[in-house]
Amino acid sequence: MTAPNRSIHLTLRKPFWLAQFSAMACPCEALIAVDDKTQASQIAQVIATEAWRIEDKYSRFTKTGITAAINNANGQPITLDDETTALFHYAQQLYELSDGLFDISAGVLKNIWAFHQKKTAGQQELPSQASIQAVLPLIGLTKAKLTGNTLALPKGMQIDFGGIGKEYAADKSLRLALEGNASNASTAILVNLGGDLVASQSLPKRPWHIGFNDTKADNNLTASERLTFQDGAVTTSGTSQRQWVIDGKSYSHLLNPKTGWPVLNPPKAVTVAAPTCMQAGMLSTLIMLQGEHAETFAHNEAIKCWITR
Amino acid sequence: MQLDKTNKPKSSCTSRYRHATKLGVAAGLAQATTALLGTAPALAGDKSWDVDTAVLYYSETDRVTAVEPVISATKKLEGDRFWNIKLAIDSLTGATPNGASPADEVQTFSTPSGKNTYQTPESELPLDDVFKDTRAALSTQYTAPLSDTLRFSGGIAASREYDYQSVALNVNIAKDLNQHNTTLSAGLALAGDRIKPVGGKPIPLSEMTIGSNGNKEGEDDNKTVTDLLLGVTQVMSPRWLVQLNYSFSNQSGYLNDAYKVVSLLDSDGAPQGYVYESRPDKRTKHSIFMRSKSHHGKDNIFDISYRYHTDDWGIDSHTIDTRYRWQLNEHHYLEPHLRYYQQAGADFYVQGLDASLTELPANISADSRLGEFTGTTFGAKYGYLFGDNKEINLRIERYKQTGEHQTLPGNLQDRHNTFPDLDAIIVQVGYSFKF
Repeated sequence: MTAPNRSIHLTLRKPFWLAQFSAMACPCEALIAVDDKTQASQIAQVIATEAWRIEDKYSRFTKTGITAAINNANGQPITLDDETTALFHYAQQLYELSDGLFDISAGVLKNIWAFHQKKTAGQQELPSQASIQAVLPLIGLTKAKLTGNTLALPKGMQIDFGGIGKEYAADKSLRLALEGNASNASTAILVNLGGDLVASQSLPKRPWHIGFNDTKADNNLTASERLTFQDGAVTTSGTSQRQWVIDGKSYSHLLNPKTGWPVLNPPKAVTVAAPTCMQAGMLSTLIMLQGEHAETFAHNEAIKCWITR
Repeated sequence: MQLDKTNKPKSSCTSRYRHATKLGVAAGLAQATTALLGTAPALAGDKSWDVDTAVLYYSETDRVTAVEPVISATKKLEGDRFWNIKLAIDSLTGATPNGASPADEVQTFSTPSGKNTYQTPESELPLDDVFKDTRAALSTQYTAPLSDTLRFSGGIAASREYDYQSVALNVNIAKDLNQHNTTLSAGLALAGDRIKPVGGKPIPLSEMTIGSNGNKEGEDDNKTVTDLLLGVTQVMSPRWLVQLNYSFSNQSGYLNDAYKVVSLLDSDGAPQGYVYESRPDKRTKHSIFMRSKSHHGKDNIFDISYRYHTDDWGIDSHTIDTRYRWQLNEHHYLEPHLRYYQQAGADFYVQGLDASLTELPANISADSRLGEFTGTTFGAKYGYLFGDNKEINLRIERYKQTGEHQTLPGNLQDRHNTFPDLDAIIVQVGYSFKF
């Protein structure tokens, strides 16, 4: 892998400075409402550096990262730092709350589906039930034991913070930027890590506007091409980009970690607004995972969202 | 819960959901996220309390002095909802005119309780100088969006002082139209007041008895106020908005000031006695308010408004209020303020009555606030912004009031100042912060 480009491009977009950088294989940006370029540059540096730090620490592609260390422990208990312990505990809570639908140990399933999809060009095939059955015992976060800072995974189990990392980085980097110094705390800043957005309080009388395409209103929300918000986070999960077409049938990229099969009839896209990017991101994923019951779930949980079918 | 039923036939989720939805997935997630990211997030937007504190000092030359500490806190709740609570304490001391006109001789009056008397030297305006009052007012207001374009606000307020209690309710609805560029609003407020004057409620037009508590009819009385407001706010450009309001107010019940009297004067202008004032028991007001608020330069704001008020007591008034917020730099601003107020007196306003009248008019009052006068307020506010949305400000203003003199028996107005000018200074220190 080539070394990632770690530069920040700063341009003035009155009344903001727009910082553009690349992290987690996504185009990222930050809108910073300060006048002074030096100050904007410092804030942008804080945001990007935090995103890169989290990318380096948790990417499963980094051999030296913590994810690799966990996945290569081969059944042996390993000691985690406090941040990773907290993230893992968070993942366990997500697993519990979603009744096993949100599982950071489900990555092996993707390998099977991707493998069968790629197997022979033009001859995509469904994985056999047997091959799926074979990996199911390696999935299920309840099998992981976290005691204090010590984590023990069953042999062969793999975890991936990919489903949490970007949202976590967005929330963390914004908070870090606001904590930077006293005058930053009230600065209007929007962080966008590849479509996962989180913003501090907007400028007075000038809420954040984001555009999103091809949306249909949830039955109790107003349809709007533009979403307006004062602060908080907005994320979108979608299936439209990534699908497997096998025997003329399309299978969503979303896999149910309990059955090993793609989720049936997931919405095309789900956009969620929540106070933090992590909440928004997890909720949009969870709604998607409900498949045909996405709307019912969102309604019952009173989640502020826009679901596109 | 419906979720269980609809999901049950499917393979994915049954039992655990029931467990999870006890708290709700979204609520559980919110808890877990807060635990991960920290319980006291540094987001400015999460600092949910906006607190404004201020102490106002008002002093009229030789008369009333008021000190009013105020604390107002607004909590921002999820979903653009706001909750405000405000506490104000008014402390007034000093002397206030009792309504009687100055005289060539020393005048003796009864204190409101009737237990004591006080004297006013010749040619001076009679002032009740034992005036002392403390008022505490508490109010709370809740604002929430009902939809993307509809907002609701409702509140309760209560205030109490030793001779006066008030409870009020208000509701407002605001509707945004035209891509949030036009806002229509409608509000209704109801107040119920209970007045319990010291020494009882004087019989209107009856004579003030000196040194005894006579001519009283009962202990207390009530007053109700209904206010209706209709308004439209229009965004003219991103830097300019205008507002137009109409308000209607209806008061009924006990509208007298129990401590005010009117002098009965003989043909030389010498006081023959004092009668308690008598105002109508109803008052209907209408007012039109226009305002323009515009941004200039970087952060400067020019705010100008005009109000026309008219009521069935005959008080017509015009108010022009203008302020310019001049943002000197990131941390300092200066806001000059100028207000001009002019009112025509109430139909029944008198500065004294001819004692030889066989029958007094049904309604009379010598309360200078109901007279014809002009008032000018001028001053400035200086603000210092620092740290995390903190602000300290200082406001210093001067209020000057000039009244019209009526022709009194014996041309008393030529010998004495029957409507003295008022000169007051207003100093306010404020501190705002978030937490």
